[in-house]
Formats: sequence, structure tokens, C-alpha cells
Amino acid sequence: MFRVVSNRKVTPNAHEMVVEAPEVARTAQAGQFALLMVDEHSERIPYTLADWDEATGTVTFIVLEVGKSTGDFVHRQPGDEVAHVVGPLGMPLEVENFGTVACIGGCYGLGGIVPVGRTMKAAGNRVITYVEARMEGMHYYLDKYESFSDEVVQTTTDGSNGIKGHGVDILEARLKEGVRVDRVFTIGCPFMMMLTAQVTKPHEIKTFAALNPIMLDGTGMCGACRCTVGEETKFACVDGPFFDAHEVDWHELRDRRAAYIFTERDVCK
Amino acid sequence: MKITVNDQVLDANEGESVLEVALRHDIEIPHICYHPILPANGVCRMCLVEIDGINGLPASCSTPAADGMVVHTETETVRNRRRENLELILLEHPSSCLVCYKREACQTFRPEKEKTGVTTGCQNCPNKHDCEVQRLTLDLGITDLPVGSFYRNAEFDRDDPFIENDPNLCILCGRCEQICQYHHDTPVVVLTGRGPDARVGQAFDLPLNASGCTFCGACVDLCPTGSLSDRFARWYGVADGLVKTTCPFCDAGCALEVKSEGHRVFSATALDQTKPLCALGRFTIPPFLSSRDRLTHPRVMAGERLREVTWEEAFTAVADGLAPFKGDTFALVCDRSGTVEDRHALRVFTEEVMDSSHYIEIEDGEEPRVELPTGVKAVLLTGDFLEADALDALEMVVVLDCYPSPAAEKATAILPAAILLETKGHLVDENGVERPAKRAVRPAGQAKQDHEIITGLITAMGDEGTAGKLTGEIETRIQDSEAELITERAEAPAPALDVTKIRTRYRGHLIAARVPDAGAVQPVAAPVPSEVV
Repeated sequence: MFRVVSNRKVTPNAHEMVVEAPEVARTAQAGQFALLMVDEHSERIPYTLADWDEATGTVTFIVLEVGKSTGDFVHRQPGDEVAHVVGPLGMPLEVENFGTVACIGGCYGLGGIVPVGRTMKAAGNRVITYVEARMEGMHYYLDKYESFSDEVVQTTTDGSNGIKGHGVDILEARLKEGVRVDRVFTIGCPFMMMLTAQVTKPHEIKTFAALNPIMLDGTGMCGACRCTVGEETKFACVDGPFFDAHEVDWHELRDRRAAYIFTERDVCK
Repeated sequence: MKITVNDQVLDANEGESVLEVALRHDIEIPHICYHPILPANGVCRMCLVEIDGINGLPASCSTPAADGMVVHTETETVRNRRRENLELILLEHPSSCLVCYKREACQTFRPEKEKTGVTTGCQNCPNKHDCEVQRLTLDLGITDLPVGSFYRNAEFDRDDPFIENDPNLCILCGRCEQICQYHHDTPVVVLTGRGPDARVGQAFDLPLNASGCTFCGACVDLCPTGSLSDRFARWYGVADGLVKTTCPFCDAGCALEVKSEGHRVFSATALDQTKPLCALGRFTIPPFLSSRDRLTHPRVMAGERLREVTWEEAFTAVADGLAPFKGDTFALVCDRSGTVEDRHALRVFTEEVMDSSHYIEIEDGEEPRVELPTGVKAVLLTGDFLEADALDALEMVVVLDCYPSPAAEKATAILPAAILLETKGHLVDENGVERPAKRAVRPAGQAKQDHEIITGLITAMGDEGTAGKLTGEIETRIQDSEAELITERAEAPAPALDVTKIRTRYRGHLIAARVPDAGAVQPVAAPVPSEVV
């Protein structure tokens, strides 16, 4: 069993869950994720590793409550246990000094982008972090961004905090002004990641998006997380989760994510 | 009486408000808190108009029409003020999706609403496809707010049976409180707190079942936002099926408007909004239909286990098994849950085909447990009606039912029955009048309606004449039916006013065992003050 160390509500619908999982914390690298089962018979859900600490043996997830399994997880209080944490899974990011790196996070990606930015900074990159949220009170982790970013750009859809708009719009405007960006990483909902890909494609900037399909075993056996990247079928669990965003079939990803929507609704009662 | 609205001269009746006169003549004045069956409340300030000779901008919903009145609904002053008022409403409503300039692209990419724990915008709001605030915002073309919106961060109440209450989406229009008062005299759902703490809730923050709520759901029906919502229906999308039928749960005969998506019923609401429904009619039908334990495939005993078979095999097995029990060694036990046609078929089967006098129909309100007449060795049960020791004494048990029961465990054959809105025919109301029962959704799995199963059985017994005659009779009866829905109810049915009067069993099964919320609606004592911390 894995003990929940803390549960903090960071936005009305997202919780920062810190869980004791020393083996995961010991070997985790930026870009990886872990699978978690709340109870013995719960659904297996992949969560992006938002942070880890080898010294305390803990890992951090940003969990959006969207249904039964995530709901069960965010209602675990410190001291409660979860049945399984499997990880780290997925391919670590390729880390180099690319020059200027833009990290775009939205939603749970506001947490997921942290290890990415931090690792890129450590490799000598100039890191610009774009964090977008719906409204005031939905930004979190600003101190963390500031620790590794050369610049933090906050946006909200309704303009209640930071600049009105979306992170990707600011990036687009800057690219049009001729600002140089060498690599882009994006974590968030498929729609936001798709928009990022559309913005960077004409400028031919390599862009990586962390895909979030439904996933089961996480080790490349079941194929539940398959997605099409560059007309090839890939498994997000072992080939990803980061893929070249310009090559991803976003509509397929969207449809596959909704494959079990009726069952998902029925178990929410 | 005549009034002039935007240069049109309209007839007005005594007591009508300016808004009502305009709406009756198809002149649209935006409004949120006004509802045709409720008294004017005048809180949303959306229906402001200019009236010659009257200072300021009166709310048309609460201004009685007077002879010779000259009303302007679309002057620049009116439009600006209306817009400002809506902007004020939006400031305390999660409105980021409404002012997002990626809105169109987002809607094209993902037109469905996305389920979520806590709603933070239209995209993940249970009301996404049917929201009055959203519609007005789009109509008035508001794409920006003077300042950013404010999220109240109030606690989302998800512990009550059937109804969820997220005060963060509420615009305090007060329709819920008004309809609750209209139906039940003393409102359970009320506006509590003041100023920034104002919210919809119950007095002393008690749970609904400790506040006298009957769970008629009228507040949910009238909520213009996603604030009050039906837990089961929340994440269904746009209905692709809409059927008007009679509520199958009791004999009050209330007419329901039933919505389904992808062959699943997700909501049932009153056709006649002037009277409430009971908790069963309003909330219980969809979850009861779709509970995972439903019997969905015909099964017969093979050796020591029930094995899934085709309907043909099941009919043959049951027909062969029942053949030695013709006469009074056979009994059929049913209740009055089914349609008139179903019960007719069951009776014909017992009396004419099985030649038995033991057709036992349990009356509504009776304890659904029967003692079998002596000498009975084989039974056909349409529900959970027998005690375990009665079952032990039998040689053959055929179960024609919707949910597992002790009888199903000892059955020689299980024939899955279509129930509630999966059936069609007629239901008899409390005055003995037949009302139409329409099929709103296809049966679960391979379930069939009782009369279809009975005619299949009769055919398998070799009596095709009786089977054909029965099918013909029933089909003609349904086709030629002139039965009408009760679209206007004279009074509210008793269970809608007193939740302790709702039916607790269906086909002998405890409804609460399948739909726990249906049990949780029963009143509980409010905690005494010393226990309140």
C-alpha cells in the first residue's frame, strides 16, 4: 500500500496529491508518469509526475476530478492509502541545451510542466513558462515556475489574472515578432496541445506534447493507449507520453478518450 | 385594454404584466427569473423596459399592464442597462467559456460537455446544452467583461439524494425557492445567507431529507443554470429520444416527458409543471432501468448451473418443464406493475393454457409476499414474491423478472423481463381509466415484455392458435388505442407531497436496493442543537 502524505486543493477541481512511493521517486525522470490504482479493484489511471523527492520518497500528482476513479483518489486524506503506484513509466524526455525552450501548461499541465521546465533549465536552456487557466484562483505553483524560468507568462481566459487569453496566443504573437524559440513542450487538454501544434508548425519549431489517452497496463501490452503519430500507431505508455505534436492525430485522440463515456457516466452515480 | 409595445398595439388582460402581454404576442423581452407558472419576482433585472411617463426602467415582469401604456423594449438605454445587468450576473458566475475567443474552435473540436467533479466553465457544466444564461449572453453578444469574474469557492453540496447543488454556478434568480413554495407551501429550498454569502440551500444547512424535501425535482427543472442538477442526468448530452408517456410506478397516472440518449433513459420530468412529481417518477426510473444487476439474458438450468440460452431454447425448456403441471398444481404470481396487456396475457396463460385457477395478482399496497395454495408444485413468478421455505417445497420455478431474487437462485429458467419505460400498452390510473404507456427505450439486453414472453411460451407448448389470437388482440388494442395522457392534473399525487407514501417495491423488489438514493429520500430527524458543533 502507498500512503497519501498530503492532499491540497489547488483549484476548485484539481488536487495536489503527494503519495509515498520511494521506488518511483528514486528513478523518475522528466517526462515520465505513473499509474495509480486507488483500491485493489479500481481503474488504473496514468498521472503525469508533477514532482518527486528522492529524500522523502514521495511523488506528486496533480489530479483533476473527472469521474469515479479520480473522485475516489482526491477524497483520500493524508494518512489514507492507495493500493498501487506503478512507475516511473514512459520514455524520459530527451534533454539537451536547445537554446530557448517554451513550456506551455494548462489545467493539470500546470503541474506536469514543472519537471520539464526544471530539467531544461538545468541543461542550460533559457526557459519561458506559459501557464494558462480559466480564471483567477486557478493558477498554482508560481513559486516553482519562478525557480526555473527566465520568464513566467500567466494568462486567464477571462482576464481576471495575468494577460487575457491563452498561453499559446502570447507565444504566437511573439513568434510573429521574430522572437526565437528552439523547442516547445506542452501539457494540457488535447485541444490546447493541438492549438500549440498549430501555432508552432508554420515556424517549424519542434514541439512535444504529452498525450493523455485512456491507458491500462502502461507497459505496451494491451494497446489501450494507442494513438496515431506521423501515420504510425504508437503506444503512449512506452513510446510516449511525449510525441511530436505536429504529427499527432488529435481527432483520433479525442474520440478514443471518449470511448467508454457511457460506462464512465453510469459509475459516477 | 390596449398597450403599445414597440409601436405595436396589443390587447392586454386585467392582471397581466407587461412582459406577459409581450410574450403572448411573440415579442421577446429577455428574462431569467420570470417563469409562467410563478408570480413575478423581479430580481434578475433582465426584462427592463422603458415606459412613457414612468421614471427609470421598470422590470416588465412585475409591472402590471395598464390601458394606454406605451412601452419600448429595445431603446439604447434599455439595451445598455440590460447588458450591464447581465455582465453583473456573469461576474459571479464561472463565465470564462462565454468570453473566451477560442470558443468557436473549442466547440468545433469538442461539442460534447465534459464530465467533471466541479464545474468551472460551460465546457464542463451539466447545463452546457440548455442554459438560459449562456443563451442570453450569446444573444446579447457579450464577449468581454469589464473586470475578471469572481469564483465564490462555496462548498459544492453532493451528499443529498438525487440532487446536487453547486452554489458557485448559482445566479440567485430565486426560481427554485419560488417553485418549492408554489408546490409545497413552505419552501425547503431557500435563499440563505446575505450579501456575498447568499446561496441556495436549506435552513440551518440541514440536508434535504432532514428539511422536509419530497424530492419532486421541480427546483432542478426550473434552475436556469447548472447549479441544481440531477445527479443521474448530469453528464448526458442532448437527448436523441423524447417520449411522452404515463409514469409506470404508481396509479396516479402522472404524464412524464422522458429523455434518452443512445437508448438510455436519462431523465423523466413532469409534463404538467403545475403539480409536482414524486421522487420515484422524477428521479428513480433511469437508474432503476440501468442498474447493473438487471436480468438481461434468458437462462435455463443445465445440470447444476443456469446456462445462457437463446429465447427459442428457453421457451422450449420452460414449455417442456411445465407440461406435467397443467391444472391446479400450477400457479402464477404477479403484481400490478405490468401493463394491462401483460397482465391479460399472464391470466390467459394461467387459466386457459395451464388450465389452473391459481392466477394470483397482488394488489398495490399489499405486502408482496404470498402463500401458495396447497397442492401447487410449479410456479411462474414475475417478481420477488415467495419466501424461501415456500420455494423449497416447489418442483419447478420459472422466473419472469427484471432483477435477481431468492427465487431466481432456485429457478429452472429465468426469462428476463422488460420493465417500466421499456414496455408499451396501457396502465390503469386510480380512477380506473386506461392511460397510454409508450416505449421510450429498447429493453435491457435481450429482455422482452411479459406478453411477448408468454405468447412465445404458448407457441412452444404447441398452442399456436391461442398465441396468435393473444398477439393479435394485444397488437390491435395498442394500435387502436384512444387512451390519453393526463396533461393537466387536478391535484398533486399523494407521494409527491408526502415522501413516506412513495412505493417501496417494484415486482416485489425493494427499489432502494437497486437505487440507494430512493431509500435515502425518507425523512431523517434533524440533529438536535446540542449535537450541532
